Amino acid sequence: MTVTAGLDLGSLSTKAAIVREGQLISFAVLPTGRGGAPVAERALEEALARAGLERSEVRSIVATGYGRISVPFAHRRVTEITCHARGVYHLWPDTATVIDIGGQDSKVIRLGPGGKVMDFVMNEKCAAGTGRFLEVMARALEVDIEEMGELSLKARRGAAISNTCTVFAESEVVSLLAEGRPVEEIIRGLHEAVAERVASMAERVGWQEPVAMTGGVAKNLGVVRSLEERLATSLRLPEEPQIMGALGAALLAAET
Amino acid sequence: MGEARKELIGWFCSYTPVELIRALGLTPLRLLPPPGKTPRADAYFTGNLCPYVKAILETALAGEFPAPAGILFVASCNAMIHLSNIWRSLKLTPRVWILDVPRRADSLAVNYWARRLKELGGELSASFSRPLEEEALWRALEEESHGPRQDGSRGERGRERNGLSPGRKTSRPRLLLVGSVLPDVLRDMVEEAGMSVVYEDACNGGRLVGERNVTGAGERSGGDPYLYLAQRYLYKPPCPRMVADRDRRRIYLREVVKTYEVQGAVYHAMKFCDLAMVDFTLVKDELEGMGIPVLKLEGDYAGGNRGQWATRLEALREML
Repeated sequence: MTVTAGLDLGSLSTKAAIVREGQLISFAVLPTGRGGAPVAERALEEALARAGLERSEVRSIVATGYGRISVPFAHRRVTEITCHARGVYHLWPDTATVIDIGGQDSKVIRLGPGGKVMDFVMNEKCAAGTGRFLEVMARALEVDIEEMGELSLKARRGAAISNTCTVFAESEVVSLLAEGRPVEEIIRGLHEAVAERVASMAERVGWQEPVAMTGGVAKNLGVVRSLEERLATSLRLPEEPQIMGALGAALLAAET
Repeated sequence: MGEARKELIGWFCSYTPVELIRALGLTPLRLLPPPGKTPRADAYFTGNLCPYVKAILETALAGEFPAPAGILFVASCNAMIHLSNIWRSLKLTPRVWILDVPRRADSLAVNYWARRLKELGGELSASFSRPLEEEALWRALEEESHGPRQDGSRGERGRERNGLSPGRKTSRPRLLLVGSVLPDVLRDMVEEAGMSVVYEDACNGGRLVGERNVTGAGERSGGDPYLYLAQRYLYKPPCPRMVADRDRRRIYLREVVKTYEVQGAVYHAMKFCDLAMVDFTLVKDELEGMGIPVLKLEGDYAGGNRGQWATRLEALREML
């Protein structure tokens, strides 16, 4: 019985996944906070406790995400690009494109035969098109980030958001509120702005169907619908999109 | 910029005909600015202008370049033309010349540029009141063809840079770096990510050294050193600015991939460089057609965001 673990240290949340004999048996998601080894340790312990396993039973650990270098007890470090690709390939081996929108960055990965990464594009320096963008906007709108998806689906149209810069878009949102635009329409406009940004990255990488979406933002159905409209395709959504990087890492740990 | 030293002529672009400077008994000196912020230069340029050009002006305004007797600019791109205008208006050196360069390589371009080079030779000669002998120009051409460059440019002519040897053996993935002036930090990060740089297609790398055999420059033509000089530069590995010479750039890239057994490539595009944006599509198309993945990294003259670059470079290695 081989048990392996994957740890994905993102900018906003840290994820742990436990895999036994090639199947996900447990996971945990914690806020990253100041990050580093302590939060990775806690996420791992929590996931192990849920599975009723001891640390000594874990054969190998792979760390991924921006904080991957700060996990001293990981046996290997692999980038989140390879890990998300591996996680999605495990669920749907025929997936051709993965769109991952996380807290700090968004990426589009083109997969080849066997789930091999053929090409990828990531957002550059700015936060446009990321979870952080939505988080800042949720604060400006005084809504819970988890409500955003549902609220936006109530709007018949989206407010035009012309800025992709997070700072300027925040001022734009404040102006729209002052004009009396319904919050739902503003949120929908924000989702469309994210979708527009990510769709252009998908074009750059030469996306093909079928497309899967991973990362925390995949839980926001408003962004998912906007992206589906923009790409004119339906997106495959994992049950737990946020842990796909950690799952891929755990699967790669099993292959070591 | 302090007291001018007569023997130094500063230059910036790989299309600068340093042989003309040398034939006059002057010393060509490539002025490479150190990386860093550019608060003084930002007052003269728009925000979205080439960071290399900004770094040059910043260093000049800070008086940190050696004091040359003049600067020979090349009208290689709009940013460089803006720089030459500001340089002239601020009187940063006693003399300033700007040399036009065609954006293609054929007999019309060679003939035009040979005439322009001769005119420039005349201007330089008059400026320093010393004759420009054709035999001296031939000697300078010979010196530049053989042996290490001795232009006092701290070795930036690229010959000594690591990775330029086709025979370099390595068990790591073999990488081609493409860009204009490549930041040193990029080469270090490629190595840290577990790959080896085997060739640098850059104006402080292979395009400067001039692997002239790759594209077959003409031999001494009709005894005219200016024609020969024009051929030599216009037929060197083409820079992205040679927008009417894209087929030759494709051939050159294919030969580099073959000669250096390239397995992957990183394209470093300096922020807001239009020429790099256009060139990237050509490089990506050509290399991916050969099964070589190309990673694009955007940055400024000082490099980029280390964390983001590291993730992208490691992902490229995992792909390879």
